[in-house]
Amino acid sequence: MAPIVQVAERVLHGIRFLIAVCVVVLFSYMVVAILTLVAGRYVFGFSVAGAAETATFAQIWVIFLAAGIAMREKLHIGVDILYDVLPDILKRITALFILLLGSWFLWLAILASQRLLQIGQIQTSSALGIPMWIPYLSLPVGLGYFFLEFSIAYLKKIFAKECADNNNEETAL
Amino acid sequence: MIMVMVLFVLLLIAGAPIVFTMGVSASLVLVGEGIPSSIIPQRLFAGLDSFTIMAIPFFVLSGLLMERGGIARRMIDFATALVGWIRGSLLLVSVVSGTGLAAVSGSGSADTAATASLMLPEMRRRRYDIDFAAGLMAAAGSLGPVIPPSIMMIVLASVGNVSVGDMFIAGVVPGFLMALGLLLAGYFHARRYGGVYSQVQPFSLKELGATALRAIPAFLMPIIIIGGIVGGVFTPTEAASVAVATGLLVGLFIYKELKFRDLPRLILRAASISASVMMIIAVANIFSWLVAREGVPQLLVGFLQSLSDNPWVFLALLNVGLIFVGMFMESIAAILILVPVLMPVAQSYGIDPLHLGVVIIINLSIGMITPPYGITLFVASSIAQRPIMRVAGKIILPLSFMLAVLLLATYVPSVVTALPDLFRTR
Repeated sequence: MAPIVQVAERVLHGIRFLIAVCVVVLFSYMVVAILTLVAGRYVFGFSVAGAAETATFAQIWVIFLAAGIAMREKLHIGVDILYDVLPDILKRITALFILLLGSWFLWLAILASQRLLQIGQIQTSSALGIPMWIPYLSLPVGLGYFFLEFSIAYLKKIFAKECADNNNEETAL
Repeated sequence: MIMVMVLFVLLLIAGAPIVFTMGVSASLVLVGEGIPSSIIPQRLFAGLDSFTIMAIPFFVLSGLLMERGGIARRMIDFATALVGWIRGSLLLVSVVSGTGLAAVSGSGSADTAATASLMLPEMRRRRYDIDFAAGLMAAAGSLGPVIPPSIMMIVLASVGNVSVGDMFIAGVVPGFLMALGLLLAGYFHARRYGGVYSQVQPFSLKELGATALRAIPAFLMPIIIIGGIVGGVFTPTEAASVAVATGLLVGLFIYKELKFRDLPRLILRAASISASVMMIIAVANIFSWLVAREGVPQLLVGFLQSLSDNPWVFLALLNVGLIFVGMFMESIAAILILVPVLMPVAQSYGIDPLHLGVVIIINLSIGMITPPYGITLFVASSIAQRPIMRVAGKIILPLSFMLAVLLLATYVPSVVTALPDLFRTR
């Protein structure tokens, strides 16, 4: 295998690991924050200001980051009954068609999110005054990772045979 | 606009993930009409910036924790002690277990997978009709969206401006009527085909008590969720977080089948399952913004009221339309596209939004067992290793009972609204 491919695979592995850690930490924070909110109200008799707000922001990060993981795990729902019965060549063409249009949509969303980030520089959240660029940043980062996993998944479909070896190596990683 | 609709259908049947089917179509309309593309990230963000829908990842995680923690097996043991003495015992056990799991998790396909994996080997050994059994288990799994907690109900409530708590309470009676119908379907099938279905185990009060005791931690979940919401103790999101804590306690310290090292993997799984649902919510938010901007609900109100101003006729058309939609479309996507349009139309006919919401949920749960896009039917037939159309062919009896409950819930609104009114949750 070419050294550049090895490096690319290591980088990809590192990105995936980092995203997975972030998702687990943020999801755990959501659970703890809401439980603290409930416990604060009923057990300790005080309101935990901002727990709901920070948990909601954590949720936004979790969902945008995990969208890419869901792509990798083939969890995004689609009606693939017709696709499954198509001849091989039509399957590849269909996959290319989906890849091009899907990439256009994600690219449009990532580019347009720059405007939201600019607004986030001067905007703060209502409860805790958190700068809004922090939750808004989840869009380019999460959608960027989604784009990466989406491209890998559909390129594998388009070049199915060529990718067989790579799949095995990736599984071994 | 026609080009965009054609593209939407093309992407849908080409097997593109629903996220892209909706995202690409909505973006094309925006670009075509010269609307700034900054609307896309704004609507995506707004779709997820909601405290209410946080209940979805929590219910997904609590379901995974309970299933990994050994709840499904204990639920089946209890169901076997409860109805295992009746003819066609395993069919009835699978319906009772499916109903019990529906009250614990928010996902119909996960419930179907759990029941089918545990029940089918023994059914095969006893020479049951596996196509019918798989169909019945798919139908029991499809009760998941109707019996609380339900992810579909949370989504519908958030886009339809209905209380999640009211939706949960309102689903209880129709859900249990559907479960009763499926029990009757299993029993009638067993009576008709005799022979292989006659093997039963004797009823034992001691065994029932013992299995109930072991399953008590599992029963805590619906008690916490429903009790907490009805009693005004929790919001649905808070109830869902408490359900996660309960799932952890039960799995780690009571059943002891869950290990701390399992948690990161389960959390990651819950996050990715939730993302697959919630990304559709985010993208559909662009879609519903466009629908409102184009005034589609008003156009539909005008069109339907020109056909008939009778709410019963509207509900009949709605049922026919939704069953058709449910056959071809993923349920969450259908809710996100249709509910913002249907709610104002139904209100113009004087129909209670809560009633409409539950009727929509029942319709879409029926869509989960009708081909070509019947998700629980897929799961059950794949675990049973049977062709999907063979299983679908045996679904008619359970389906007819579910349709009967749909008609009852449609034309006797108190079947849906009596319980929320009784508990004064609205």
